[in-house]
Amino acid sequence: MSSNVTISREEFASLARLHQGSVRAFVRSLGAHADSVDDIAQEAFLAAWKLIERFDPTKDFGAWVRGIARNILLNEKRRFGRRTRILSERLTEILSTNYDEADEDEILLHHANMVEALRECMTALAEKHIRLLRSRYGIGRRIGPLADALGTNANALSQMLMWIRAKLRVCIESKLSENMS
Amino acid sequence: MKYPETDTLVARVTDEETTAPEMVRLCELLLNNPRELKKVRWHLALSDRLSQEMDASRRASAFLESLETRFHAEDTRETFLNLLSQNIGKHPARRWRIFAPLATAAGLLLALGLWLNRTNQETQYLHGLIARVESVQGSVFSVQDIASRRRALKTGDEIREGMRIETGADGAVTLAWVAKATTVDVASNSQLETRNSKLTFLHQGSLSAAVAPQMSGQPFAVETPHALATVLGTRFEMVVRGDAGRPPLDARLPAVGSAKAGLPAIPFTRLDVDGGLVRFVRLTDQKSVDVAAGQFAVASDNVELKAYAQETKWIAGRILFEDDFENDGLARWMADILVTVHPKEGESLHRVNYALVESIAADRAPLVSIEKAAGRQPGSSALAIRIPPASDKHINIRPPSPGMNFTAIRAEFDLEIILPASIESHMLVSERSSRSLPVDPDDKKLALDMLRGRWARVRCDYFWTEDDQGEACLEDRRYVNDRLLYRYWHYPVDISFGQMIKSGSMLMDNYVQRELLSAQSFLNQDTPEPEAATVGKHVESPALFDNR
Repeated sequence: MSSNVTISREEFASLARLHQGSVRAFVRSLGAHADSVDDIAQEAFLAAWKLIERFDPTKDFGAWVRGIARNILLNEKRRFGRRTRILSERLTEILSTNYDEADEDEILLHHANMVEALRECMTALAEKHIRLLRSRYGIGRRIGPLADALGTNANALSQMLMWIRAKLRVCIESKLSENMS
Repeated sequence: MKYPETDTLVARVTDEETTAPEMVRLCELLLNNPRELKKVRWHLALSDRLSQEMDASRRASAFLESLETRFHAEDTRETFLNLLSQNIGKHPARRWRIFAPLATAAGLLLALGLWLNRTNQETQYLHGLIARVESVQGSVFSVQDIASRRRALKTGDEIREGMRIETGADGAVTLAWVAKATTVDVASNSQLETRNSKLTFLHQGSLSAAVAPQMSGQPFAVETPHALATVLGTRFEMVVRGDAGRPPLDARLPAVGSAKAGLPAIPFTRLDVDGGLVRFVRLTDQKSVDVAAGQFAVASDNVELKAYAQETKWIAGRILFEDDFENDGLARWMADILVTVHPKEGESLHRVNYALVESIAADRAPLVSIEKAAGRQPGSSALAIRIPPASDKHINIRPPSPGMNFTAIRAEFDLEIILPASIESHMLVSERSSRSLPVDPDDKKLALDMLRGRWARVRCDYFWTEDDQGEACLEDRRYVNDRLLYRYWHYPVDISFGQMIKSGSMLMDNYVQRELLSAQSFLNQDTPEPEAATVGKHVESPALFDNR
């Protein structure tokens, strides 16, 4: 692998540690399969290391790696044997080409305090909603079996999860906006 | 309740439940509505953030550790490629043949790459002549990587460095290397990339190769997403299934059932060697094994990397567990079996985990008490697991302690085994592995069935749920002759049960001898005898009970 003179591997590791969460969430937000997110994000970091000499240290490292990740996702449809890493080529294309790093939503999505805000907002959720999130995102149960276990239908459960996420979003945006102001 | 169309689609895409028409519709809606587009991105991103927070396997530490491993793998691969280049450099004639065209091609590619504003440096492929098409069957295409142009291949076509070859479901192609008498047969549904004359990358599918003797230090190599095989002259076959880099499936494995019953496939590369010797390197951890003629190896997560004999007969048959009464008596105990099936072409690699729990609460008398079974001493408890075809493998047999009650359970699994395979098993004793909830007041029915010397059919259904405290657990429902008798809740914190089973079911046939059962006080003689149809079919004693 190529080495660089401006950023050591240790420094790179620190940057990766700092930005891994937002890069992974970003990859998912462009339509990657949940199971492939980490794979793609790691690929982006590997590519970033190879190209590290091109990185301008005065710029946002996270945004730079996200840009690489975006290119990887856009290249997915041109690559072989990896088509299953994205939900849909068309969806990824639409999501990838219709966003702006400077957009307020985008800034909030990758805000450094995102995790803290999320954790705070989760404490305000009802216990049954926390349990549901744990089943879905902690254990990784799919909607169908989870709905069966809870005695509901998949569509209603999906909507319930969306409602919880929407509630979290409002809370997170509020906290981050306070933070920014 | 009726939900707005967009919300329904956004929810479904976030949960990865969309059908193809729904995806088309969602894309249409998103194109005309930037606000909804932001909503999709937020829900997707937030679902990932939640997963990062709640799923231990996705914590930052796990991600960074995996990233570090890939860095090391990249380092090693680069070292290997450098070594190849250096060795090639020692032979002027070969260097000219390969590197002269490379310079031109690299320049063209660089210009093209700039034009396309590519950032991926890995696409700087070199264009030396490597091989020619010797024969073609069905649909076979060569693909120019950057422009994604496909061209049907025909006999005599040149195969150059950086070229990708794709075979359809009916396709197959034989490539003859120009430098040496090496031939590579690419099977159907395969994707191959000729990186240079010494290195071929098999993305998907399978190939078999007859490799001419190579010069020392200049091995012929085939790389896959999971492994690197270096060859000095041999005949071998490689099979690749699944994508590289997927997370381990340990927490998502299915439990009991058929190995072919729609279980998720695990990515792997299998190498079979028919002649010579191949060095097989697993890329995730750089472990290697030398695979000789008549052997095979598999590179995949959590599968032991070793050379297996191709004619290995799988350890099929019966596995006998005995309780560790010397330490815990009729305590809760658990036995589990890990079946790893090493596939051949066209098959899928599955790991099937079975876990069996027999729990007798401290405040309950054991269900049954008999004097002897299978010729063993009183006080033993036994579980036999039968996996056809019959070929016995006994493990972990301990001498029983005298004076203990006896429970005998025979479990027979309906399992399709793909040969060859390997099996691992062990037994654990845990005081906290589960707790049971009798749900049927007539819970003496099992004992009654057993009293009458019948086999009682026990079905165990496993699925993830939450207990009455809201804690995630694996529920194990026991049905005896189709009647729900117990619910067991198993907790992941105990002996990693949750990592072994996701959901599933199994059938067991239980049998105990009648003599000592009659001494049990809880028997209800008035309980009607079960109908014949609900009684297990195994009226004959298996070998375990041969001296009944």
